[in-house]
Amino acid sequence: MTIHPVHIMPHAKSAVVIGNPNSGKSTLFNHLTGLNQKTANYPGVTVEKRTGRVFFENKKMDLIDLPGCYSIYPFSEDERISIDVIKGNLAGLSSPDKIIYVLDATQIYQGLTFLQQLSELGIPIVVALTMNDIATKKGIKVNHSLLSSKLKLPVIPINAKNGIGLSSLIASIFSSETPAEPIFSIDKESNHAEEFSLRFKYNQNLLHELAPFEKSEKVHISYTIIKRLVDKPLTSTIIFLCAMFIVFQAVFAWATPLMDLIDNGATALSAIVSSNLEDGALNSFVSDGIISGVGSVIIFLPQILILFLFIILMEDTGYLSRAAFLSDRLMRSIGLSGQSIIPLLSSFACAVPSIMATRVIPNNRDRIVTIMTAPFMTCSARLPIYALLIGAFVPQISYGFVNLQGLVLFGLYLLGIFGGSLTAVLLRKSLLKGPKPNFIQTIPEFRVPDLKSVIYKLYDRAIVFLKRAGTVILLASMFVWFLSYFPRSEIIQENLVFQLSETTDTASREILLNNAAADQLQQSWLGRTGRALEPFFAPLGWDWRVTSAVIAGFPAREVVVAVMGTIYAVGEEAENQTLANRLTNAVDQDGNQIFTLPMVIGMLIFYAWCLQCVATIAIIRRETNSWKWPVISWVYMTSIGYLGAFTAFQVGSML
Amino acid sequence: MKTLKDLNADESGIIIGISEINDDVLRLMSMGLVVGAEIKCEGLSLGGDPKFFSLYGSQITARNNTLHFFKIS
Repeated sequence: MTIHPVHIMPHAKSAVVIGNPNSGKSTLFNHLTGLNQKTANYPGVTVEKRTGRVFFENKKMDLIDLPGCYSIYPFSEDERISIDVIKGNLAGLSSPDKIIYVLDATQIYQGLTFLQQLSELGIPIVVALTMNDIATKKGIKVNHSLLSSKLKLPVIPINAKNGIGLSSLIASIFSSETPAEPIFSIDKESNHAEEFSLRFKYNQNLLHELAPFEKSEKVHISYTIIKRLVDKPLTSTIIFLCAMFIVFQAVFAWATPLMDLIDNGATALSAIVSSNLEDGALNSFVSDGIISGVGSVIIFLPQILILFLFIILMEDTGYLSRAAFLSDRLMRSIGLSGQSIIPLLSSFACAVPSIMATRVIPNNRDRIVTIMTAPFMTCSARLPIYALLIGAFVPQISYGFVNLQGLVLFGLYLLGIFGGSLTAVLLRKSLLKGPKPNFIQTIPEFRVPDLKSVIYKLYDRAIVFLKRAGTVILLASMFVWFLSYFPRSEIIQENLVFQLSETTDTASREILLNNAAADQLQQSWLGRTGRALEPFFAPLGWDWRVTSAVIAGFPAREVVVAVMGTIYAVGEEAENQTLANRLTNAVDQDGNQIFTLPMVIGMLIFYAWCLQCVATIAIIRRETNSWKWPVISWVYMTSIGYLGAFTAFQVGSML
Repeated sequence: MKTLKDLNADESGIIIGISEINDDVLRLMSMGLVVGAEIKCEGLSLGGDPKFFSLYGSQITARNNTLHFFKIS
């Protein structure tokens, strides 16, 4: 027997990229690692762990991009993770071999305190001096050599966008082996307040004594103009409203052609598969279950990419912090802070990207309140149901410029906002009770976003969505397909074959096919579930058919219209008007009209408040890293949707 | 005694004392709002709260309920 020697590869050294928030860490990380990076979560928390690898002269080093901090004393979960990683307190992760400290050239006073504290840990540190171009525009000239000698650390000025200084930085990272010496030591007995006072006093003295930056005479004119426009209350509010309008339009309208393209593509693919496979369960499973399921995931992608493109652009230009600043007063009235405004506005298009966008909220409690509030906003998936029911049952009357159908639609939007606001207030007084959220943040300087970094971030968001949410939605779609397809009735099928052989008229054949599909659905598990649950939904005025359609709409509420089309035997691709007529004339066993005005109002309220979107549930699960919040959200929203529909039907029926 | 809450847009002051230390105050201190720091109010949100300050090149926002702990001259 031959024993082969085992070659043990030495572990790559590791370094963390750390600094104050908005100092340019992620841009630097993206440029150092390129596509050699991956995103995961730190164990047990929702904080993202971004890791990558950098290479230099046949050597490699693992990099971790850490959330920004102002000091070694964490104030949020993100900051706690950063400090735990640096100190080696996180299970399965030893403390880094090196620190790349990102220091914003325009905010040296603020950035030096954290650097002072890190210098006391005995880990080699290399300082990457960023934002030098903005410093120049602001009229600040940084003497980095002098700063380096005072800090006793290598200070490398860089511009990640055009690559200036990156090779020197990489060389310095790989060659730096000397543990950092404390920049400024303080009495260990000092409390945090005293420590901050002493450290910042040192920073002030350093700036005055050594003048590491000198004010240059000229301040860039474009910088001054932007600053004047954006930092004044009135102009900034107008700019904010315009920006929000563009974001809202983009996510709502610009995404539609792409979504239609995906939808048409999925339908065409489904038709191709359907025509090439024999009629039966496999055909239906592939075309209706898998392709439709995958299509229902990918269809969200245009909205996600457009919304995140705007959010990343706003974040990377420094505008996001200003938008949060401007809307803080408004959001405070429902117990939130200005940081919740972007996610909540974007949930009018789709709750999925908006919940992902809550990552901009640093406080976990505020973030969960925002996550729970977002699904109440009227997303685009509610519109097909609203359009069907309003078009069928609300008279088309106009009062001057005001159209009654439009007014009802507007009322439903307000109902969603009311439900969300009430939820935020209730959560603040119960499950998420705690100190009122404060609003403390730095406002970064305006800057031109780095294209490469924007693309990396967009790519990252798309992958995260498709991987995590996609699997759950696909499984749910397949499950609903199973419920609606099985068991198959041979008698219905044989009757259909016989009846089809008796007629050649296309319209008659279509009616026969639609009736057979309705009959099959009626005796499927879905139809049986609808019948079993009918007594529970009867107080809302729903019969088994409405109940079955609502159950089928659990993965995605817009499916309800298609299922109603099948169940009322007009076909799932029926025009709204055809289906509306059928709904208007639908009667129960006793011949009573089902879709009465109180029932329809109740159903609209139900859809305004209930959580019928497995994509949203999956993303809440992912973003809160627990099943607790999606379960609470679903039970709570379904309950108040039920209560709203019950009240509307019962009160309306009495009047 | 004037506090940071009382500063209007384009007015400046020097922090001369902090009347209470709590988590929010400590947070602002970690960002550089310490005794002796020169600070300028750069802007207000509509209604005057929150406020937006500059401090040795950094720009910070905070609500009046925290700013009133910072005494200024």
